Amino acid sequence: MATYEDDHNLPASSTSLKPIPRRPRPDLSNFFSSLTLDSTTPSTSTIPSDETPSSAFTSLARAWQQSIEGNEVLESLIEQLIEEAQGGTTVKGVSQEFLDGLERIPKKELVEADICPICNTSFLLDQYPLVVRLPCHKSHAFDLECISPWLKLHTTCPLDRIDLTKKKTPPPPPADEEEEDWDDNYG
Amino acid sequence: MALPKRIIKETERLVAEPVPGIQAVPHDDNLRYFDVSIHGPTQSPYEGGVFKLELFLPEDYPMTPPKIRFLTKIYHPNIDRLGRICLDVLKANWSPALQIRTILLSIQALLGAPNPDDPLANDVAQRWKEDEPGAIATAREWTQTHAAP
Repeated sequence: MATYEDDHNLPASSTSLKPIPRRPRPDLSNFFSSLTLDSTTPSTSTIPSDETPSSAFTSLARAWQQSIEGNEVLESLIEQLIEEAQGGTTVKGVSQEFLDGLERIPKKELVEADICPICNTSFLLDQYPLVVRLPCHKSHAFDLECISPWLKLHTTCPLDRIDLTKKKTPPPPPADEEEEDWDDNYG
Repeated sequence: MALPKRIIKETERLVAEPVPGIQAVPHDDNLRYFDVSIHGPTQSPYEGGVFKLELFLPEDYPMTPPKIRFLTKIYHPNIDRLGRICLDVLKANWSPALQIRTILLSIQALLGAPNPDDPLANDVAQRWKEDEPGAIATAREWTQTHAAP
């Protein structure tokens, strides 16, 4: 079979410069198909290496890289793009394990007046309410369906903005209680 | 796409129990788009003015904040020439537990308490810091000129 170099009357040695001589042709369908992936899909996605939105840009960058080899400016731009895609641009949210591990509130503990702060609807309007409690405060209860999309993109409680991924601060030392006692006396 | 229940409930409550000094009315042809008017707080340079704003609830509301802009010209260090508002809860500090009414209350509070240390309109903020009485006088003039009810 005739190589690219044969066709274009180039010395065959130029192939040795390329780290991978036979790459697949640029294919933007990868890019567009990965864009349609739900970015909030947890990491148990069916496409293991493509679960982050940044992978779409990585594949785009690779496609460009193949089509414009030799242009230094564009190549440096592409390198930058790849670096950024691999670096800090990941969506920061909690893991599926975190969501699965949230404390469930049984239906019998709920009353009519308990509403989800996100949908503003009483939990009991749903015949089978799936309600979870966030670890920051015992009154911070949400429909799992409402809190999940938020926590997949953010790690904070919507009611007090406490970062749920941070370790809980240790209980206040006894010195604090003494101070409160003193306040009581003072008041 | 059907309007989420939360938006319907919020709208009903805004109409049934309006916040004093604040009106928000959805457009008939787009229930995510609201005409808003906010009365300038008493004891502020905006007192006596009625300020018009537009408010839009994006597709992913309440996971993302509403988009709000002043339509009435206003002289304020945290509101720029285009009416864009510098307010933490409209950006990084948004939470899905906030609502249209709480956000509009925050904006009304911002009129009562300008914050020139976190400016959006740099020239206004500068003047606010260097010549506060002068800046307040200008804000009052603009209120009379542009925000007369």
